[in-house]
Amino acid sequence: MGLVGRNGAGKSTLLSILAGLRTPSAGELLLDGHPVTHEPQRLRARVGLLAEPPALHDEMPVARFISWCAGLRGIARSRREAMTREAMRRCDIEDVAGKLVGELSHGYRKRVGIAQAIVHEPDLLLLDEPISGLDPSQILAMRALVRTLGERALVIVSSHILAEIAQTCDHVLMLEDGKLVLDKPWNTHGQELGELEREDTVTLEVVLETSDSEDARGILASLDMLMGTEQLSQRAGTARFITRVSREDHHQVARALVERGANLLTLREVDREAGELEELFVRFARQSDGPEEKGKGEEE
Amino acid sequence: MIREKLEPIALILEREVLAASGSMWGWGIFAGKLLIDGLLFHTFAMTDTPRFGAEVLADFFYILFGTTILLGVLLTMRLFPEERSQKSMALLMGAPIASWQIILGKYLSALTILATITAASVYLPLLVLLHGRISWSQVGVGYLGVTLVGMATCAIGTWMSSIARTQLQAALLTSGVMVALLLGWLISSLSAPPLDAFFAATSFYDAHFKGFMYGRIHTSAVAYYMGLTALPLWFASLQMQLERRA
Repeated sequence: MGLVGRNGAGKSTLLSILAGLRTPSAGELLLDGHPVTHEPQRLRARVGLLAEPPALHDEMPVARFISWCAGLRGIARSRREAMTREAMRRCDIEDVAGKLVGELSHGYRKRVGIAQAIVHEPDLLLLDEPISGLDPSQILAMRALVRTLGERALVIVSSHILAEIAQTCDHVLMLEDGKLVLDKPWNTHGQELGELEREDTVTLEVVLETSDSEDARGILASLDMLMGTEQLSQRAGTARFITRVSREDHHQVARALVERGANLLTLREVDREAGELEELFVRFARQSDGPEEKGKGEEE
Repeated sequence: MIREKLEPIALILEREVLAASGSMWGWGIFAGKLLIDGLLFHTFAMTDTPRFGAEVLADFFYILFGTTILLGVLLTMRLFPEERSQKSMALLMGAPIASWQIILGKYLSALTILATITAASVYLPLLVLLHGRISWSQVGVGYLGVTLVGMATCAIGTWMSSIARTQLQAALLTSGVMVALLLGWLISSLSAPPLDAFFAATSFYDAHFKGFMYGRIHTSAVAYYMGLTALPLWFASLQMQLERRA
């Protein structure tokens, strides 16, 4: 499950509430249908949290640290070693078991953070910005790990990197000013943007130089090959759109735009799922800003 | 059931003690405390004029009283602010354990280190044996008094540490409370009845510690220090509970 939203939308607050670190100011927290708002211990026992930055004790060896966390979460001494080994195996950190946490690279620290979060086999795993600060190879490994973790527990990934959410989650939650504005399975979401067979289409980002977004929209609308065009922004004399085109037509788009007199600045294929999510994100953000805010943005 | 309750306390205690024993800071405090105790003992207690062993021991416990308070402040100022600055607080706050278990684990870790360092000073009263005799009961009672002072100081320090955001803040807050308690006799002398009796009774040193220095145990003094241990720990637990449920 992906949790997205702008800075200050309430993502971290929601994660804190779900982790039993805060109490909701209103509403009820249900766990398997039972209210746990006033029983935080029950909730904490079934939740694992990877905070950003990860909560670690640098002076402890990795295996000992994870075992220590297992003990804090009520795992009996007799089972602690086996569960520690299993958590380290799943996070692929067995090779650094004897190293001090403080000596590890950023990527390994994230993995140790996840290992401590899953050592007690929680039903709900909360990952706050799991890929921030990771290099590309570590990102790929982390994505694979997150998907694996999702096989045993409900994983909620909070991230401002929308491509990450698009690639690792099959359900998206979007928050805006503390309110849930989107809650839907990710694989059906594409239907909203166009009734196309997604495998045969390409998502394009189009940036045109124009001071008149109506004019730019008109040019794009005149191209029959484009489907589900949405404007993302209009600022500093440029209009930015996201659109879809069939795979066989997508090489024709640039020429068609130029022929219609458009000043084309950027035309690029974007990661389809990330592009869709970004589009949704912008759309909700724009709605919540209201007409006044929107006007201000356009002036800027 | 009891073992389950004690296990997280033991885990927190174990980690804190290991962290302190593996750090330069921990060993620095240990060495510094012994050095100050030794220097003060040789300067003020072991004088050239002939004295009774009991007087020398009384002076020794007076010195230990002061350095124990200082040690308590230094040991407790790190307890929570350090976790906050290292962003590791979520490990404790998000664990399915009660707030009092977190507080007790932290408190006992500071007290264990304090007791270990204090016990290492036992060679100083033994030096008196080279020149005369000492009363072992006076030594025992004196150390009991110092332990009670350490317990109360660590409890107050734990409470202040749970409130403070930085180590400096925690140290200043704890020092402030300790100074206020130590100045009870002064405030008492400046106050009119019945407040003077109240302030005199709260005095951390004059009204309660002097007896221990000379080998006398007053149950009222023991109750005073125990109360001054329990109350701040209870407040600290409430503070932790509030923070976890904010």
